[in-house]
Amino acid sequence: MNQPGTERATATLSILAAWAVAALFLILPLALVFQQAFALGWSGVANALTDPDAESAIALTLITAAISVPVNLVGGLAAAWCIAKFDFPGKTLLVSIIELPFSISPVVSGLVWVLLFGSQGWFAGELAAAHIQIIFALPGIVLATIFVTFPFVARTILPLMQEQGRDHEEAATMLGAGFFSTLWHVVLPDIKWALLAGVLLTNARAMGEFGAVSVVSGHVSGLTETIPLQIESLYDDYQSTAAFALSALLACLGLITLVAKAVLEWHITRTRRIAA
Amino acid sequence: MNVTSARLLTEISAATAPPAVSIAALHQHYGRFPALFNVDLTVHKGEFLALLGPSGSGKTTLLRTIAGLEPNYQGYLAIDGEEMRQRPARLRNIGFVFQSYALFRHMTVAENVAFGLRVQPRKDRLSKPAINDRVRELLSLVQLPGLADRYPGQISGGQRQRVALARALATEPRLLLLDEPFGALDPLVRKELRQWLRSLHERLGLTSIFVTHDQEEAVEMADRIVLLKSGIVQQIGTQPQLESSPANGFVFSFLGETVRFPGTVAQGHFQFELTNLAPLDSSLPDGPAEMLIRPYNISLTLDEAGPATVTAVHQAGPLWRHTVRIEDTTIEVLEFRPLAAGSRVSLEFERINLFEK
Repeated sequence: MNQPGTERATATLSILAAWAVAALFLILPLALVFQQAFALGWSGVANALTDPDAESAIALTLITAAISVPVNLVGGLAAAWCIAKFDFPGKTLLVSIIELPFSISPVVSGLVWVLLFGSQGWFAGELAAAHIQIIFALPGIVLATIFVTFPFVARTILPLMQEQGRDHEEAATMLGAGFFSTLWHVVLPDIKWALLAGVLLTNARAMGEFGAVSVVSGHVSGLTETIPLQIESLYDDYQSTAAFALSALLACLGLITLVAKAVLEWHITRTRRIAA
Repeated sequence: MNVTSARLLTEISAATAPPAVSIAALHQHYGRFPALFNVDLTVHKGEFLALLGPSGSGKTTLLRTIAGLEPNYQGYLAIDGEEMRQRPARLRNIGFVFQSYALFRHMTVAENVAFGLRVQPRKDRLSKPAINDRVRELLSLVQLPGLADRYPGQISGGQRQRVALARALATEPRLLLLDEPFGALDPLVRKELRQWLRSLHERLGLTSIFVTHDQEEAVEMADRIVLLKSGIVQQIGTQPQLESSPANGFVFSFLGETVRFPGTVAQGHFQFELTNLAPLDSSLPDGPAEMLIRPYNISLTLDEAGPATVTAVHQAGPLWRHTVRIEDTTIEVLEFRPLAAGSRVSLEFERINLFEK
């Protein structure tokens, strides 16, 4: 027989189990990263982070994120708008294509760029003639990052835009608003929180991407290594304290994003409750 | 429509004051599915026109086509005598009230109403104080002066509807289009708003077109009714015109409660399927046909030898609703005085309508 008492006990047990799993597999590793990073104290962390190679990696990571996030903000917004507001043949296919970067391995995505722009690639001749270096340089790293992070913005705002339909834009049009007025005053305010959440996810992934960037970067320390690549190099070099210090930095960037996103989500549900 | 007749139409309009809307040979498709077929329609200045029809009849598509929201049409569409094909929706200066109202959620009531004034090109735009004055004026026009700072989420459905109307009227549009304006409201509010909207239309001298599937609403509010079915205009006219000379059985039955008698026409006579009813004179060609009549145009007379029996009687407003059985068919008849259930009766028909089937 199912008594309220046993039901409550089952619920408590499940919740405890969930927390135990989270602690063991999510929180503990993260705590260990920080513990290892601070094994030599604050000075160890400071030394690791002020190493010229580390500084170069941090700069490269920030530049990569600073380029790929705005690109994907605009691209994702445009894609989601097209899909949500217009009917055209091949729409379902386009949705699948947007999700492609999620479903194929980042290493493969990286290799595609090498195939296109590498020294043996399709456009090798043209690029060499114009003295443009894409692979093993910033453009390649940015391209790979943009590709891998493309779905985040589009996927976060698409359901919201589909739910909203076209009424508001049509109302703005009938009132005489042009494309940019409508975008700025009507479309964006409706989706701004979801859009920001998508941007934060894009940013987190852009800074943390390893696989695709690893293929196109060429691992030149102090030149083409982002933070994740630098961490791997350091670790392979038995400099584990430095590796963990950089890891802690990357984890902090991720945690900040996570907290910002949580705050946003709380904000979204709250404003929705007020609206309803 | 060919070029000559289009030009002719334009010339005729130019001779007199152009009608608010002229539509000729208008076709509209959704993919391969035809949504409007060969629509001809003239809307006069100051008119209040209803587009009436069941769902899927194309009435909303016609409204959206006039607005410019469905630009891929074939045929002729002019507003105030000006051909509209090259003019995008946002430059037509048409007020449109959406079924969902489509108020901007993140803007206050006042900001919603001001939107159309704020997005005007800089040279035509009113100054900020002038916009504020106009908004205040509009909000008092729709009787919502106290709600300027509320958000759409904080006001009732009826209030939202009036905000949507004020917003649509802000730029003094030459034409007001309303898509199922009362669809989302409860019946009491709906009745009240109908009268109010009608009087507002008169007071402002507007030309308005509204879409509805509710014949009562169309009859009560509109000067003329355009009745649509499957994308085809069935008939255009005032309510008495449609009632007294309906173009077909659909028009008649859509406009009110209808009693239907199937039968056949042969040699100038309509013979009921019910063998005990006397044939009627008919000018229809020979073949299957039906007789349609309003339930209050059938009168019952007590008659022991009559063909029908009253099986039940209920009061329906000022009238009495009789359920009457004739052979194996049951019909509803409305009478001013009740007859006892079980009475044997004979039937008399007034204002009959015979249609081919």
